[in-house]
Amino acid sequence: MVFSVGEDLFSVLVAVGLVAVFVTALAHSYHLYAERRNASEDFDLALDIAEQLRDQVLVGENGQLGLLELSHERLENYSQILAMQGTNLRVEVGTLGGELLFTHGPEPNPLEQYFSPPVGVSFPVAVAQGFGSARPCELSVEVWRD
Amino acid sequence: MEEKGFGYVADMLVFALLVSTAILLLAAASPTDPKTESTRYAASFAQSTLRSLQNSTVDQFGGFEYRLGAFGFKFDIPVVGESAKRELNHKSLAQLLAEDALLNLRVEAAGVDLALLRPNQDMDEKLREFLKSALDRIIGGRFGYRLRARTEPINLEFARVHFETEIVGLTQSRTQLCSETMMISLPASQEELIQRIEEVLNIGLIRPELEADPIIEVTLELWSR
Repeated sequence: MVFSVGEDLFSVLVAVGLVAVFVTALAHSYHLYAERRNASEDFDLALDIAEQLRDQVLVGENGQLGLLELSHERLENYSQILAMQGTNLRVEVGTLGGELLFTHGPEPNPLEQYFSPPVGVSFPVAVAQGFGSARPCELSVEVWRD
Repeated sequence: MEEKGFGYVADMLVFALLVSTAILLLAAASPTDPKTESTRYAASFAQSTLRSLQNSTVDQFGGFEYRLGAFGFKFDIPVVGESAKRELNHKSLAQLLAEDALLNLRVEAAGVDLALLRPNQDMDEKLREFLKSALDRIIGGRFGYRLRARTEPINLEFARVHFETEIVGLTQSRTQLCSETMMISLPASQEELIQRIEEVLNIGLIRPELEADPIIEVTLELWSR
């Protein structure tokens, strides 16, 4: 067998390059597919958690549904219970204009969660501000598994 | 060897074509985004939105004011103007809706709305615009919506007294995902409500039988976009 540095090496390089590009594309396509499938499967879990936060964990002392009092302490206790079940939680509360007011929990690492991406749910809520005033905000909850 | 090299490239191109087809099939088989299609999420979102209307104060949406008037005429004369102005910034949006219902009861006789003296008519029109802009901000384009507020009609011998309003944001909407309802008490007792109807009709009434608590029913429908 004669190895010709010109055309053969070029052909090999083209072949390897194409295989690399399409394997990457296939992996990324599977990632997108997994992300959506995962989103569907874990969506109910994220919704349950967001509803519990909205209706129980963050409800103010007067118990009025939909009026939240933001508390790191209550969220920490709740996050620990979820962590024992292998579920991670990040909570963000922002204004309707997009200004971030409150965050709790670590941000998901995009590399670690590449094939198990986080699922997010958001709800409009009112956040108590004292003196009978309440600010309309958005509660965003991100959930992902270890 | 040169021909063989090009043969390899042709093989690779066929391989690439097969992989591309596989990727396209995989992408087409992907499930849809549950945030826009899930009826459970939509129902929960609608409950949240209704509770936001119940709890958020008007000042957080830029404040609400209107002028007293009658038959489309507003008291804009400089001396009277300020005293005819009503600012309602510390109430919740739901309280505004209930107050609007009480102040703008509609009287229907033989299926026709009677044009009565309604000093707070301006509130009705401005509140609809105000609520639309508030709902646009709260829902943020994620769903189409229709908000309906109505009272149970009070049937008198000669007329029907009720309140009904509707705010719609349904551009390009497709299917209805959910319909959630909340009840708000009208800020008046039965006796006060009857007095109010007497004022509106300008006559004395034989006391009609009313429901135990005068309430306003607020229904929010969410539609997929």
